[in-house]
Amino acid sequence: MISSALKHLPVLQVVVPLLVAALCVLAGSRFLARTALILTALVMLSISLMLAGQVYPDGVISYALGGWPPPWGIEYRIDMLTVFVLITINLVNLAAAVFALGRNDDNLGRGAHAAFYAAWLLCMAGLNGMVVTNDAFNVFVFLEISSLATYVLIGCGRDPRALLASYRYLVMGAVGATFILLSIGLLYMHTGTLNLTDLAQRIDARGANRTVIMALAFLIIGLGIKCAMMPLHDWLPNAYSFAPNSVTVLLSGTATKVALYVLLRFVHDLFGVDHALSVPVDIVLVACAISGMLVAPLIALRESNLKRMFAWSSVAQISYIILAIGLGTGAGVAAALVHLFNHSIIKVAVFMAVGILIARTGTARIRHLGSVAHTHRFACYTLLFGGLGLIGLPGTPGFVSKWVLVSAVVERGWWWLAIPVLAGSLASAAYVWRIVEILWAKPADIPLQQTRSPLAFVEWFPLVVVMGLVLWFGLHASLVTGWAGLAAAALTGNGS
Amino acid sequence: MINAPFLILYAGALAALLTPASLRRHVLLAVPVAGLVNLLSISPDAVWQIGLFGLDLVPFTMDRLSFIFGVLFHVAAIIGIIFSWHVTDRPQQVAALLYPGSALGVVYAGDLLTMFVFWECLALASVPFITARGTSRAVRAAIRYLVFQVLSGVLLLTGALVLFYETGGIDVGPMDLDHPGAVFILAAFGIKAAFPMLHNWLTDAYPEATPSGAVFLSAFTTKVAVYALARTFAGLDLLIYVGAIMACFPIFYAVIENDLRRVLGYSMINQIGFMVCGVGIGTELAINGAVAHAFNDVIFKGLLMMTMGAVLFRTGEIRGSELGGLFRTMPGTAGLCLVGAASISAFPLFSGFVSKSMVMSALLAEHHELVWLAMLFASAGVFHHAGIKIPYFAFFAHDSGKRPAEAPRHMLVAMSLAAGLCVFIGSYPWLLYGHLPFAVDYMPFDVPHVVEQVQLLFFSALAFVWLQLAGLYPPELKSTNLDAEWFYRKAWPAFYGLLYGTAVTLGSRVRSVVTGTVALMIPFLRRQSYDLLMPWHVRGMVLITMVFLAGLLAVLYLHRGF
Repeated sequence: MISSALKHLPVLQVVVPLLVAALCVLAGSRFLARTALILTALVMLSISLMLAGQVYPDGVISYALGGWPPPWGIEYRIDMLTVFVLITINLVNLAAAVFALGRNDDNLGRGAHAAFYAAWLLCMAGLNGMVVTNDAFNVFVFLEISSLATYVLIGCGRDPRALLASYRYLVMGAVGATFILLSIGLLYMHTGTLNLTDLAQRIDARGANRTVIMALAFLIIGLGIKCAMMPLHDWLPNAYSFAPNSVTVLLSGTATKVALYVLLRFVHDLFGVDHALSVPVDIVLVACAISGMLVAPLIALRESNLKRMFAWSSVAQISYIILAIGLGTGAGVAAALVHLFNHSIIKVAVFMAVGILIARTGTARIRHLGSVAHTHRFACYTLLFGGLGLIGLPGTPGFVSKWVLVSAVVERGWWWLAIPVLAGSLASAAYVWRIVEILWAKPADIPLQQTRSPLAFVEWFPLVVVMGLVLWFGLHASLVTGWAGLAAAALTGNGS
Repeated sequence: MINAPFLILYAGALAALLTPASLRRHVLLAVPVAGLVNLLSISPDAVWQIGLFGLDLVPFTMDRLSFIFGVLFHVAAIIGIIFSWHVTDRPQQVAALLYPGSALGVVYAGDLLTMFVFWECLALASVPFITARGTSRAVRAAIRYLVFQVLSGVLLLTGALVLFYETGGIDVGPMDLDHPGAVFILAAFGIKAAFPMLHNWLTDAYPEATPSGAVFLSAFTTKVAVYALARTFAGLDLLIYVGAIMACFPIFYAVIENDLRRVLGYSMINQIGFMVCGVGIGTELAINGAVAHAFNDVIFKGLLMMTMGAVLFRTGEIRGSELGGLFRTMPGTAGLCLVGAASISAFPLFSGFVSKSMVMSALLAEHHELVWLAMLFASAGVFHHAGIKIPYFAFFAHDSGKRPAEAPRHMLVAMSLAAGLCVFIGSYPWLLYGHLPFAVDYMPFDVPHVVEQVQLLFFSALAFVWLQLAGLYPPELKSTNLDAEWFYRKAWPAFYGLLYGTAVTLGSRVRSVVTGTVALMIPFLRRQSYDLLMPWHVRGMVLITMVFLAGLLAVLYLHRGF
């Protein structure tokens, strides 16, 4: 019984949240839904860890859905890269789910909570599905599941503009999904298969033609929208800033990261960045990344809303990951994964602290938050430490990321790329210190309706845990870098 | 390797963090004393190596160059801690050990990675000295300071990485600028050493520090950089000219500056100019001179900073226009300030004399006559602004009517210690100079040197007196002078504001043109009120996506020609 269940872990990763989501709606009770959410999040993290335990010694797990062997049936394929991303997003999910039990800044009326948590679980089911599946069309289906749920989640923000933000994301997300679908269709046209491994082999064998190039262009744009690559990023700042606090936490650590994972998979697995198709994908990605690294922090510097400022910082940080992907080397992939994980935990901590601050002070306007650090110490110090991580000071995970990224850049022979990376960290230092100056030193410009309610367990506990992770991984980088190296080896080994 | 100097100070900092306020200052003082004893007992060939990330890291290694800097930093820490005996706020007190500890970490680092870690610690640990002032002006200056320091750190890290991938080694040793990595590293050192145009963090932040904080700040950061330059770029010709510019340009700013601690900041850049120049010459005599001058500068610049700190502490005022006549009630401080002034101006028998003449002689020996002339001008200027202006405007000049009490006893003790060292080193130079990196056979007290220096001082003083009497001396204005920092405090924000504004206007104009055109073509859209939700509307985003797709396809097409 147990052993047969263990064999089905890859599909359970997706099916469990999917089923529980349906049960939540049926149960309709807020208490039951909350309990279900937390338990499911725990189960999902455990499944990821168990999968890691299986993959680490055995190598790749190939799971044939419904017993149809690949490439005819749908294949779920778990390797080191997959479990790396699974653990990251399910860890974030658990922390965000606990945080969601606190003061959430949402507009949910009575009875709507169960539906909210159901949407949450659907979103996670979709994201997990995108990670585990090895079938191109399946990726699209899961992408749609997660996206639709995300629009609902964002629309639950208390500010009425949340609906508008959600709508904009919906339009952009729909465009992105369409492009991805087009891309998959073109690939299918060219190769007659949807299994990614199979696709990669056939593209490799037949070489590229116009169809494949078009597919590549559509794919880069579709995924670029979903992961907020620089010129396609515009939906993100508003979506993050008006979503309920816990949803911002969830999205910052999962949605864009999964899109980046898919980008990594497709670009490396199918096309190979090493000019295998004589297509300058690397140049395009690197150019977008540089513009993101330089422009987004400058906008963050002028931002008046605390949450949106950190959303812009997310755009900047995502650019680092895209840069690393664009390098196209094993070290680049490893750097991308390291930053993917590190940025997830840092941003989750930052957005939790921001959420606590907003819930207490009732405002996200930066200039209204003068000197609140003296009354809200915990949140502000977490924010400060997270900010140091974003800058990349030694002792923070951000430093580890910068280290591996600059190493990868130099190893690739593009050492001049270190200059925009440095300029980017400088700009992030500027916006973080602007916040620090206001939170600690500026007098408040209006009297705030502050509520001095003590921190609830569900607020401080996940934050403390994530902060602990941030501290731990800042000082003990070898676990993440080592694993990212293994994951990168799995990917680059696959591709060739 | 439990007795590495930085470990002792870091452990002391931890202890200071945990001890109650009443006991803390005693812990503070005991730690560097113990550290100094420990340093003197370490055998010179001790090395501490650890392996990490497949690299051989060397957190501790010592030679004659790093030994003398280690002694210097311990002494500076002791004097600074005595001077700040009245300080009771924990961040500053902990920083009083963390900051010297990090400086020691840099000095004894055998590889660039270790050096980088301490380099960043040095930056972070020094910030409390500025922020503790509590004014928003100080906090802002601290932020600008930190941005510069962090930039220096990341440059060093990048340089180390580039160098590592080029050469496979990250030892701290002589480098040449053929490697791009070395260029990054030179830039990193240059920021910390306050090279011209990179110097503004110093004149910006040091005057905003607390009275005792400025004493610490003036001792470590820049001298660490001088050490690093001497270790890696000795003999780089470029540094001779950089040093000459550093020695000369601050003089003009120092003369018109009103904040007396900022005057000292400029004078610090001027003194570092001598050291950088010495490093650039690179001969044994020149390196000796640079190192000796760094040693002396820490003591006499510290002394001057302390006297100005005492004035600020007692009067709450540091602007030359508001001070004057303080010698009546602060005679001790005034006298000690004169000792510091004599030392920095290189009076014979005071500490600056020997070390400065070593650099000057080395310049002549290597036939850099023009630079030598520039340095001569700089020496005269030092006497002018640091030797005369500081004591004159603070303690003499017109009577400001202020009658503050004499400096507290602990400050007098600290200042007397420094003053004693100035005179002692000035009178018995060979006791210090026996420990310089190279064996010295240099005769400082011969007739030409003494006569030349006395003449220089005499005519410089004469110029000051004449300018004062003729009423030509720039009046002390209550103003803030901006030099190169104008670029980032005025020009860049204005430019950035303009850029941002233009981008926003341009964006909305493009959008309205495009939507207008589209609306003309599609009558249905005309009915919509698209201006209402301008920053929110979706069309712009979709348009960007389309343009991006077109661009991407064009790039791919052109590249492949399919």
